[in-house]
Amino acid sequence: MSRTYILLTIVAILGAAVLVFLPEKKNQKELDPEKLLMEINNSSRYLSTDLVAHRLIEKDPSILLVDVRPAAQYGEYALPGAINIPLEQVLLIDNEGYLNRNDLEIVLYSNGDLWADQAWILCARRGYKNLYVLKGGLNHWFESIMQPKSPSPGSPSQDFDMYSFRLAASQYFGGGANIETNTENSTENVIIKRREKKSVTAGGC
Amino acid sequence: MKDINRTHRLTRAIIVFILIIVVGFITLKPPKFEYGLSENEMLKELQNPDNTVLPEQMKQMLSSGGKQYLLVDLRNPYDFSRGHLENAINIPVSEILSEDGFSFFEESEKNSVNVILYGKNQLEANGPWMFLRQLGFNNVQVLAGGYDFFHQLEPGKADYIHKPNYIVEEPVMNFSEFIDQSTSENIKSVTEQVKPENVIPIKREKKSGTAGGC
Repeated sequence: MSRTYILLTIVAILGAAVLVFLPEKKNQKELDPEKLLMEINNSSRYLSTDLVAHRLIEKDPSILLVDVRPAAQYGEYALPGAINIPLEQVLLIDNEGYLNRNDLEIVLYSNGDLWADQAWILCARRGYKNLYVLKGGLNHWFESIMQPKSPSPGSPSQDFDMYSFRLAASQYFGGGANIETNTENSTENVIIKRREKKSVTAGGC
Repeated sequence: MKDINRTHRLTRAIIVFILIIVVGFITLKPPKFEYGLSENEMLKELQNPDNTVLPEQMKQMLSSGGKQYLLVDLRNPYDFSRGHLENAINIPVSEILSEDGFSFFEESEKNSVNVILYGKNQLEANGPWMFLRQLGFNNVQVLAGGYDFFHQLEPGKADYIHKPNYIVEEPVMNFSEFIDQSTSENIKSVTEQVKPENVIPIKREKKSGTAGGC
């Protein structure tokens, strides 16, 4: 009997020794290269400026904007509610709490979309989910949302809908597109009349 | 007799167990593709200007004719067939890890020939470039501006020296100044045109004490 136990112990010790000398795996969460390429080739990470503007105006609580430009540029101008994580700091452990979340959709943006996309790829390799990139970045934001161009007369009606949305959005975000047309109707007398209660309330229940 | 039987069973079980582990180790294949660059090294590479080939440089390289580089077109075969840079090879993004695609990159690295990637724009080539760099290919560069920009570079079509729009991360305007200006205009026009609104709130009068709920 005791021989079997000795044998068992030896096997267990051998197994432990093998485990000790196994090559160290760096990061278990790291995405497979093949999967990473598939993610890179998938363009669903790009969100249009119109979509993001819509969600910001609606005060969608499930969206968080992350500005990946240097702190100086962020200090000068940033989209409303955006936090700043410069590209060089994207991989810091401290920022994982912001970038790797299940409850929020993180939208990365920069002046164009190159830095944001680079940050996205670095994060994708780490297996972060729910990350998006603002297509065209701030440059396109200012071209499309802040200074919308009116569609040509023959355009389909969707173009006009989009144009009127962008006009309203530019107002909302502090741009100055066609202010004159919108301030004309602002001299209304608003009289708020509250309905009077005529009888004594008898209380709930 | 019983004891001997039990030991036999135990040893047999142990042998089978060990055999399974050994077979597992033997049949374990190493992953097909592995990263050759850590994420932090990749981050550093992003700051390295040697990784991008500017359109002007590309133009010179094309005209000088020296063949120390290979051009890879990452767009789809249809776009490729409609026009591409001279001597470019078409490897769509999804084909990079296919047998042909991957052996192309492996061979070019062995022969230490620079590979210049380009897509429709720089963004399209950026992902595949970062991917190949992270796999450890050090000979891969990316064409700034991409095909669309380079295509307009034909003489007389675009003035690229004064309009470096391939530098996508250059802000097109001073954003904060734009906002300041438009908001001050906003305030002006608001004070000029908007008359104070007459808001007459009528308060509800209480007629009797409420009896209170519950």
